[in-house]
Amino acid sequence: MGLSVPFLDVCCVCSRLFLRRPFQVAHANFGTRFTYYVNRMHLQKEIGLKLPLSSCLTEAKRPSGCFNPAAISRARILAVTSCSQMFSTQQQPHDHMPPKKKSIDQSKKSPISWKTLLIVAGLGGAFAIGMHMVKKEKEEEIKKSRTKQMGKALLGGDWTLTDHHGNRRSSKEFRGQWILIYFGFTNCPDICPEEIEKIVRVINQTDADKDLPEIQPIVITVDPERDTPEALKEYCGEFSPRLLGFTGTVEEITAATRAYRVYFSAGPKDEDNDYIVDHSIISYLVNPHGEFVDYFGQNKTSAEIYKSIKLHISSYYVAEKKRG
Amino acid sequence: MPFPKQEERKKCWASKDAYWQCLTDNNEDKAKCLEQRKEYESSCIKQWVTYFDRRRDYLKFKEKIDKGEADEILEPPKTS
Repeated sequence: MGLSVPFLDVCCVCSRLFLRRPFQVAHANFGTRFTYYVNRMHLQKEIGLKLPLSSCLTEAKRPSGCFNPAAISRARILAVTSCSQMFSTQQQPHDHMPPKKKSIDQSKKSPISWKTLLIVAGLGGAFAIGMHMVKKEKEEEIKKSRTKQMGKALLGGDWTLTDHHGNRRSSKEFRGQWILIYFGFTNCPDICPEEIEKIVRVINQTDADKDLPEIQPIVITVDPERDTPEALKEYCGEFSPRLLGFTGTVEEITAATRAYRVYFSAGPKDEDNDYIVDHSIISYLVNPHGEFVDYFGQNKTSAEIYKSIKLHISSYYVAEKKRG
Repeated sequence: MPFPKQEERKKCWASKDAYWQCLTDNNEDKAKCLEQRKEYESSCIKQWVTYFDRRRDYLKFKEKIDKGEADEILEPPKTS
């Protein structure tokens, strides 16, 4: 090992040869002969080493020929030594040289054996795998942090609307409080009532949980033309006194829905001038800093939402404590 | 137009559910569910009736897709 590792560092010119040998010997065919020939030329050119050509070509298939391991080792050692000598003045201290010279003398015993080769290859392989794993892990981490940031950057934002008591209020007034926002409308046939009932069940659960702070459920209308504060007050009151409805001008509602990427589109009016508003069915959890934390679609049950909120709140306070 | 109140909503949903159940029991034969249809139309506002009719079509279609019998994807039903 003491020999092979510095060798790899120093003799970059020959490392190609060194590492390719075992494979070539294992597959002694025409290709090998050709490579041998090329390598022989290479050795002659770069380090002045002379190897017999004729014997190789004629005795290629015989184990005693130049392709047998011992012969290859010999050639390799010669190459190694020549290379080391070439570079020794720069990187290899002279006191390391004698063992190498000795190894040439004892080349029949082949101190740089297949075993050493395998160890080097193994180490190289392990290092490569290790590097690959580290790289993969790092990529994963970058990906994770990117999605985290995207979630925060993409959703949420402040709005100013009119609550169902007729007061102008900004979302900034809810700082220091957890809020759960749902977008709906009072003329909604089935989905909004179902979703709002679900939210009320969640709120009843969080209210009963002493570990959790009070969460303010908010309903923002996507039908500002029909949903006056009075209508919203009556509508919200049908579900729970805890609900707070918000309306505003079309522009204000559009701004609020854009912040949360909520889609809404009023359908065609019938002869009664009645219409249905198509819209996204999503609830949004916002933390006391006014930051979007999570969303819950129609497929989530109240129990799942409750669990998720509890988890978010506890991890939020753990992070706050750390922050000091 | 004021929104349907909780009581009205519940009445509408109940009549709609009864009508849908009738359709299911009679293999979607609307002729056999005229009574339920009448009750349903009188309990729900027009816009909701249209909405629920479409919703039933959608749910039936979705069921077919889920079962893998969605030939209608290639051949949409003729609108009358």
